[in-house]
Amino acid sequence: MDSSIARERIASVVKPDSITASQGDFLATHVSLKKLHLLNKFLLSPDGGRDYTEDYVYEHFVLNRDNRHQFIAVYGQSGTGKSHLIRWFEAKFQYDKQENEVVLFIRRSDNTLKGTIRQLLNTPEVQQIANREIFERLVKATVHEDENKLKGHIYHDLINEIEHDDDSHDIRLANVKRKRLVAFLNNDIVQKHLMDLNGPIERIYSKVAENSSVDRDTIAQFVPEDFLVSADWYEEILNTGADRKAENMARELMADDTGMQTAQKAAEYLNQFVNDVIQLCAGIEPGDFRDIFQDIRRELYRIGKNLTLFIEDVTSFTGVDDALLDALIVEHTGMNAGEHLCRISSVVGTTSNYLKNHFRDNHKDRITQYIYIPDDVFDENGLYEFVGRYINAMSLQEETINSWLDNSHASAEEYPIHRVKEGACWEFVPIQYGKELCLYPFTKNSIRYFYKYSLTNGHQTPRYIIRDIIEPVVNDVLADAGSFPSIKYTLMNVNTTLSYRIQSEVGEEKADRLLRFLTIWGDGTPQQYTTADGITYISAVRAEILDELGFPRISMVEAAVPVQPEQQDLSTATTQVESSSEQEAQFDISTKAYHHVDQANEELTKWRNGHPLDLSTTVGVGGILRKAQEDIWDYLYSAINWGTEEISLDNISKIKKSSMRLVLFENQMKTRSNGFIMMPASWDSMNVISAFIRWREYGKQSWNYPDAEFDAYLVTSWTARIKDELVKAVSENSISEANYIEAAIAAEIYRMILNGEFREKSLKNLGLEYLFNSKSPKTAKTNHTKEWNSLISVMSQKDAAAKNRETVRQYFNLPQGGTSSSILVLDAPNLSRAFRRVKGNRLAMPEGAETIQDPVKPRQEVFSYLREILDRVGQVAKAELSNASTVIQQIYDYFDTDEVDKDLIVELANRVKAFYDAINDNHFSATYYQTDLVRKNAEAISKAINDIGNILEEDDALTIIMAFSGDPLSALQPLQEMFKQLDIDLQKIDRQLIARKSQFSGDAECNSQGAQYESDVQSLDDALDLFGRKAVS
Amino acid sequence: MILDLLNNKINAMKKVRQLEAIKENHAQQVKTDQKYHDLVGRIAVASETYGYAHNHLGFLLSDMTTQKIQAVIVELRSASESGYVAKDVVDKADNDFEAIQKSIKGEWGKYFRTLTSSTTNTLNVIKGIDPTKIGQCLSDIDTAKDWPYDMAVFITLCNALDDANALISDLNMDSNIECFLEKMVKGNASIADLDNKVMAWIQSEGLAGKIKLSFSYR
Repeated sequence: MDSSIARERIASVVKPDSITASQGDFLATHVSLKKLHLLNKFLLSPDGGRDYTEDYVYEHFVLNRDNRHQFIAVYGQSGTGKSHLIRWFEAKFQYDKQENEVVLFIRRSDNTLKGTIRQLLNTPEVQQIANREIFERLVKATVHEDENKLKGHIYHDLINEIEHDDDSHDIRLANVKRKRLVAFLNNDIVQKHLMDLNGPIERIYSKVAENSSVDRDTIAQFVPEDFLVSADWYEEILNTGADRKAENMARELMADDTGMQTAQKAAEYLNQFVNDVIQLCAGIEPGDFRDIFQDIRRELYRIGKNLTLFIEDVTSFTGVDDALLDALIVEHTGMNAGEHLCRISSVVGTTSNYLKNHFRDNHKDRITQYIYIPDDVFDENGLYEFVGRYINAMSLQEETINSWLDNSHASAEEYPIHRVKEGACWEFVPIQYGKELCLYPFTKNSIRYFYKYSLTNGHQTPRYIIRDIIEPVVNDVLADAGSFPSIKYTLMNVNTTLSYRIQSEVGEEKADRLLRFLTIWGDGTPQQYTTADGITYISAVRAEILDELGFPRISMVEAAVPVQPEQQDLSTATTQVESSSEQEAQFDISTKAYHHVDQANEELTKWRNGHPLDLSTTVGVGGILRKAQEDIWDYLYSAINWGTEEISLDNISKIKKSSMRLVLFENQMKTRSNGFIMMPASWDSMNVISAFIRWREYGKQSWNYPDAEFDAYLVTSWTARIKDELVKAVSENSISEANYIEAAIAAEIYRMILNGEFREKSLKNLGLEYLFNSKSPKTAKTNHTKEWNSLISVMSQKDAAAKNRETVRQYFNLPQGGTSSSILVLDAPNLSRAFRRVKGNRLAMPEGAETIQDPVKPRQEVFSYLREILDRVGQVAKAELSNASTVIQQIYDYFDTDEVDKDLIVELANRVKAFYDAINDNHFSATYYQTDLVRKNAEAISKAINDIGNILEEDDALTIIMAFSGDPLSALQPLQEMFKQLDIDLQKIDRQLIARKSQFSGDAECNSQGAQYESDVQSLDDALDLFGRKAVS
Repeated sequence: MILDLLNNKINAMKKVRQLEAIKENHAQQVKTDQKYHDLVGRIAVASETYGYAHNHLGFLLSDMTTQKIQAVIVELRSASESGYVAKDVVDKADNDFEAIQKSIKGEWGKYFRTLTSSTTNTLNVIKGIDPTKIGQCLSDIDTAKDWPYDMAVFITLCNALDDANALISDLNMDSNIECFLEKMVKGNASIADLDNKVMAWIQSEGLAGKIKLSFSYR
């Protein structure tokens, strides 16, 4: 390369479109195409078949030695070099053509109709046509029109066409639907949407107006996606008060099931009017183009000449292409002989899709030869040559090239080679006639690498090789060779050993550049070798090159000089990773795995260079990185022996359940989580993350893949470096001195008290065994207040009680023999200490806990759980006391004393039994009440009365709820129920007594009861006196 | 207090029920009342006669019989407290009193023999002296042999015993004569017992022909 010339010339040489380069540069950079396919009928992507060179095609078809009518279509994907090839045909044809041959070359120019018409108007053949009316119209069509005005014309002409659709097109719409579509298109919001920068009107406009800036291969048509109405869009339409018909149409287009179908139909229907609308906007008649070419052919016939027409891209005629094709297929012989038309040979370029969709079948049938250019048009050497020719052309003065063009008609033999000023020790590529092209600033490795990784599928074509490979790399070296390569390319298949060596020996900035250079320009291995002639290669790059670029020498593994590989086809071109595929085959690593690792490394490289990482998706590269992050978490959870670091397993378990992550990546976007530590966007982090990706992808979640031991080393050494920081961050005491376990124990004791599992009146008797032996909460009905039951209910919500209990039970577990061991022992000393503290504090909130804002939500929840209990327990105690006080007072009132012992209760039971017996015996009505329960539980009842009596004056909430833990009111229940029934039955008996006594109210006999026995009693008293006295005496 | 309240209610129910029962069967109550009156009357008679026997004849019932009769009296007294005696109570008391009467008869029979045997034996020895008068005495004593529910019988008994003692006293018998008579009544008297005084007394009272001799086989 000669940078002094290249700096001047690069802009004019490196042009993605052949049409914009000068003829000399065009020919100087031209690489012969050798993989062309010849077909007699259209196939979208023909496979197999014989490859033809461009020279063969030129000789046998384009040159047209037989002077026959022909219509040749050159097609292929966008950017494959169709225009280039047609231009090359035209350039060559200009030298070889017969004298009576007129060549009309319609270049793609800016690929618009106006631009194309302007080209036509400039040709002498058109200027001489007899039909002046058409000529005038063409002149008028090229008049510049304001962008918005023209777009408005396109839009409203389209609506007008629909409104006046006479059903002459293939696709028809019912009248109702047509009106609905018109109303929809007339809606302001719809119009705004369709006229958007990425909308269909812009696409059509870009094919009509000059100087528009869209992809040259854009097709001026509607696509279904233009009409898919989103919910937001629909709402916007409604909000602006849409016409009912427009609203209906929008709803139809929004429907999940039929929306796509309706959109497809709408797009297809509208596309029928696009040509008419374009013609209208340009002010030309449908038949104008056919007439122009007919006129040209008549004129040429008249003067005895033939016409060869080269059209780089038929889409330049968007809107009139149909008419153009009509003109080109008309033969000069046979039934048309009377027309006096000259012979026409047309070579027309088009994309595969345009040819497939926009050429009518009768046009396709009349194409005499199809020439297909495949995507991978170059072989490996062809690619090197392509790059080399561009570098050579830009290193030569324009005059040198023009001289070559003028003097030798661009012959290969005379092809000029520049004097190499930079890159003498770089690689060269041989071309015809023993010439060599210097590849500086490329190496073959780098060309292969860029071809494979910089160009996406479908973009591995000359246009993108120029735009995405040659131009940026050359500009980079021209800007500052000292910092070359400065562009932070995505690195694929980075060799971890190489990366590690570089980072350990070279500073961060140079390390980055060196790794990039050795990975892309070299073979990416950590090896060096010296050839027999004493030249040292480091990572397959000559050591001098590294010196030239200012790289320091680093120690590499000495390797044998490799055998020069045979040339490869680019389709099978591989990187160093794939070249060692034989070795790796034994590890069964799939292509998909390599692809995943490459994708991830690409993303990580960007990340390291300052781009954010998006791990929000589960698919694609985001998914791979997300998995890697999860693998890192899993690894750290299992690799660090948390127990020996005095981190409870329960704490770890809670962290796992929280949104807190052990590590997050710096600049990680769309994450709602926080990390205990952040992995900086550095080489070190990238190496570690990559190692985890390889562990999953290559090793299928094992360290069984090539160089896995080095990855394992990277990971373990990184773990050792971050462990202390991580452990400190994970510890609950990093937030506050208050331990959540104490809050959990306090809450659990409250739960046991409230559920009646611990029924003592003092915490003194609460032993550790309660924490571990307590049974599940009973569901039996109790006689607690609604406040008490409500607190139990609140405590049980969302399994809070069970979770808290689990916390208490597992916090002090110590796994034996590692984190994953299933054998656990209890850390009894620490448990006892915590338990004593909780009891000593009388189940209060641990000191300092009130202000804790723990980012680990499950840990914070423990404090919140206790807080919820403590906030309510006072009210619960008050309510229980109040309720019990009422009950106990009633009992006191019944007995008329507050000293109610077991005997008194038994006596009551007996008396009540007698009462019900009397009811039976004396024919009163009341259901017999069994007093057995009261009698049997007399002792428990008296104890409960006594217990409640003793607590009535207490005001400490904990003491009160402990007193009520055993549910003493339930023990009183039989007594209460008996009293309740007695009250009812006593009233009932009272009523019955009154009723039954009333029948005796006037009965004197009954009222003088006992009078008839007075004398008897006296006699008996006397008799008793006699017998008694006698007995005593 | 609930216990008192329950008691009151129990009693009230019973009373009402009784009133109802009475009202339901008035004739029955009349009969019961009559039986009650009769029973009380019999007890009153028994107590009066017992009082006389005790006071004039020194008869004393056993403790057991006394307690039984006291219980019956208390029960009958209680039975009337509600204003209406219950039939079953009266029936039971009646049965109990029948049994007590048998006990009294038994105890009286034993006591009667002890009370009268010596006198009647003597009277039988000397019956020949004044057969009419002594015979009347013996007859009067014998009427009270079974427990009589008649005060007059006990009075007759008392008088007969007094008359008998007077008769015996009038015969001026010293101790030897009385000893001889006693042995004679028992069948143990022999010729050896006939001393001069006894022989003199026999001659003077003209009893020689009335005393028969026989051999003893002992």
